[in-house]
Amino acid sequence: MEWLTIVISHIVGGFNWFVNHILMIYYDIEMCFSRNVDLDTLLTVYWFLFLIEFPRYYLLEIFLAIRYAVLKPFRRKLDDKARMVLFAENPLVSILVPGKNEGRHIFKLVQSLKEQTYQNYEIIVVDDGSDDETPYICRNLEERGFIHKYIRMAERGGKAGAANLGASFAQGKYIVHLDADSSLDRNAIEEILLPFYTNSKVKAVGGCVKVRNADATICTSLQALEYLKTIMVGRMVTSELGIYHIISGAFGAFERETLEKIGYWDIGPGLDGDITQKVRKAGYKVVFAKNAICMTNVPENWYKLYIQRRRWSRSLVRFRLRKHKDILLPNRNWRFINWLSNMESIFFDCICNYMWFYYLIGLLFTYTDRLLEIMVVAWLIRLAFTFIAFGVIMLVSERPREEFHLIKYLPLSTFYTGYFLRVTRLIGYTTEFFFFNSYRDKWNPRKTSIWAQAEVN
Amino acid sequence: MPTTPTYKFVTNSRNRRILVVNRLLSPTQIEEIEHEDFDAIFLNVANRTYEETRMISRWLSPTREGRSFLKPRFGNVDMLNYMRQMADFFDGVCENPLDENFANKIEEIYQNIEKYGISRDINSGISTTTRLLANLVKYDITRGRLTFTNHAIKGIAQGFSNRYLMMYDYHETLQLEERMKFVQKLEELGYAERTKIVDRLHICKECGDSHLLFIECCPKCGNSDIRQESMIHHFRCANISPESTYFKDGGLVCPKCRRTLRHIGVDYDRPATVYTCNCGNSFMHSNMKVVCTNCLNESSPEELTPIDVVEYKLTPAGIKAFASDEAIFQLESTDIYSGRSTFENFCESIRIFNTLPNYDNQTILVFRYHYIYNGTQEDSQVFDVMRNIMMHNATVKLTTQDNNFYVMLVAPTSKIDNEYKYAKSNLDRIFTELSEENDSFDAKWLKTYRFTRDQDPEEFIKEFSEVIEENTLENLHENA
Repeated sequence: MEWLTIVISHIVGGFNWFVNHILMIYYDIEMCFSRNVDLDTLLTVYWFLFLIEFPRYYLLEIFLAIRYAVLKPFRRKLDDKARMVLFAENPLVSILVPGKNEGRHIFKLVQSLKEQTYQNYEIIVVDDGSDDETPYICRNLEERGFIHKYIRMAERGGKAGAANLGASFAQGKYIVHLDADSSLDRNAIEEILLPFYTNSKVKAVGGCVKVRNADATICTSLQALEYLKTIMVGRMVTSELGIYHIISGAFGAFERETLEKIGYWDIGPGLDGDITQKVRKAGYKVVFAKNAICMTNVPENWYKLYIQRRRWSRSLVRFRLRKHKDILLPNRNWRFINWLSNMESIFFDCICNYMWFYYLIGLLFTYTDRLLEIMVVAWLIRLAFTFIAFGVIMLVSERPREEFHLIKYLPLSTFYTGYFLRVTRLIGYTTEFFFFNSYRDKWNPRKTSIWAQAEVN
Repeated sequence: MPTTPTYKFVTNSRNRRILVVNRLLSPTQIEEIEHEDFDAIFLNVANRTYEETRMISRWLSPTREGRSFLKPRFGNVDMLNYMRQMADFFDGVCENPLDENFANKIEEIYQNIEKYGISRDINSGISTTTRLLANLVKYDITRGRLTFTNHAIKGIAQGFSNRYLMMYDYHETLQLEERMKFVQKLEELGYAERTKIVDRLHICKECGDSHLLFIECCPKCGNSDIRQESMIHHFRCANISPESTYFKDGGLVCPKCRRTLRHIGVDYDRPATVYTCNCGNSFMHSNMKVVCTNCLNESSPEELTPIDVVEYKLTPAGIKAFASDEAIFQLESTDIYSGRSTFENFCESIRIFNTLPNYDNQTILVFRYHYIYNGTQEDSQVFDVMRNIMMHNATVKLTTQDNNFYVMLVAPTSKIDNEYKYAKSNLDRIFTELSEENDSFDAKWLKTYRFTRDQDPEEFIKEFSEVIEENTLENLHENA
């Protein structure tokens, strides 16, 4: 029996040590707070949080969300007017769905399109050299009249190529670009067309993308939260400011004539941001339609998410800093609003990311002994911020009740947005800056990316 | 110059008497020849026309003519050129009636006749379709061919045929449905069994013709003024548009970025081909529409009627039944066969109608047309009329009696009025057309009789075969 007592005493001892340790941490935090309770110290330690993150991502959003809520009745009147004109004109809309090996998603998409309040559309599915059962599914759907045109490229040509091929078949006045693995709210097509009728300078409209598989894994739940914050609220904000700069590839609408003028899509990755730039450069307005909801599937595991985000980050460098650098430089195409739009994204997404890295290194050396407590406090501060942000989301969202359950992921989301995404972006930007990785991305077939690569020099 | 005799008999090494025919026989000469006079036939006709050859082979047909029924028949090489579809009714070609191969073949055929105990009575020959088909089966048995298959054959409305029915098909004297029914019946009675499906083909859903035109057309407007063009994908700027938009000064220049395309696979490729229609529609897959050359009905490929072309093999029971002519009796008494028939067979069909289980809720319509003809070759004129009717109606039974055409039609009682209207107008049209074409022929509708299950068949037969008074007939044909 003796050995049992020894084991028990060890377990109890271990438990004691663990509890004490946690208490120690709390004690440290308390110490930290008791010693640094003045604002000055807080600002010195958390300058990044208070001076960069807070004003841009929280203050501005709160302000504009309140403005949005206040102006709702006025906007509704405008929208009603636009709706009347839209349904009176009833233009044909070409819905373009390019994709590779997406056959099994198409039927779901088509079903959600059948439910649309706006019905004058044609569906064009472009098959970018699928090597699975996609051709059979799509041909069948075409024969049954569920999709109007099924176009197959015998060899893979990249997403831009597929979209362009589909666009050359389009007959409609507007082209709606959709991802195959997405589906739409009943009124999404109608809502995305309204901005064209409220302002005649608008030639491209982005839809609001939300996460369909939010409950699949923690990873997707966190992304759902992120999409709500950065797409639904974030893009509403940039759109209000007139600096909206990326129409999601998953759901966007363009006037066909304008697309024709700007030569449709160029090679990606990041062709959705690129085409938005092109429309802006051509002097047209680009807005975000918050109520045009599109649900899409997002990566379910962290590695896939990492790959996706790295690709997105690379395209920022590639398109904003390389291809469209003329927007930033003074020349005859220079327009303040476009400059601001790009600068905003470059500053907050790219430069701030490096600043954050610098800040982190600084923390590491300055407060080496109290790193843990600083992190914990930072987390607490961020948590407070995210609650504010969640309040904004609830204020803006059209389905707050359904999305309220995501509140339980808020404590985790600070790690996700605060660290995971930042590190991913850092890697993406840095590799792209030095190694031009996006030009070799497997996302495009080699035959096309080889040309993009050659163009850099 | 010594003239060669029209025909003569020779005896070969096996002691078989062979009838050698050198020229078209005159009717009196034909009368002279008796069934017992010869065992085999050798046609030594040279440098004759097709028509003449046809006449000769018809007089000495092994399937239709009593005297030559089932007898071996050979021809010389010269004849072969004229025989066309009839070539199948020859057992071989040789130059000399005393040829050893010929002699062997004769023995073989007679051995078969003996082995299967085949009756050599012609049993009223070709009076009905069933009998014609049954005789062909019998002929096949004597030649040792127990399977009968169908082939795709050029120029036949149904697209395929049994090789022996080919010539009938060419003249459209047999109806597809009738033949199918015949084989089906053989299967039901256990006389034949399916060995394999040769082909599955598609025929017009309206008229059953296999001569179809497949026309590629625009899925939107149905026009076939469509052009095919390949799309060019320029890798560098991701532009994809039809080839013609790239044409410039004899080279390929991208319409989007104005660069020259030099090398396929490096600068550009052609991922797809696209159709453009006159109506402005462009599409990936053209539609296919099907036009029947016979009835001009337009349909989609999916709507066509698929039919199986089946190979059959006679069972021992079948061979026995055909050999003893039991088969004919069985076939005729278990169903009503459409097509041309004798008046007796026509009446017999009505008698058995009440006893056939698959004719529940059906009604028989008998159309009676009276005709007058004051020309020669009345038989062939009547034959022409019948052929015309059979070509235009799917399943009718036909017969003639005392200048009357009788056309029998079986249809579901519920739809009988529609069927009547349709058939009546159809028949009227055929008879009017024929009367107008031919001055010496005139046919007029007399009456239509209806027969349902509860009626007495004998009374019905009496009813429609009653003699019409001269005056009425004269009035009827007054206009002509």
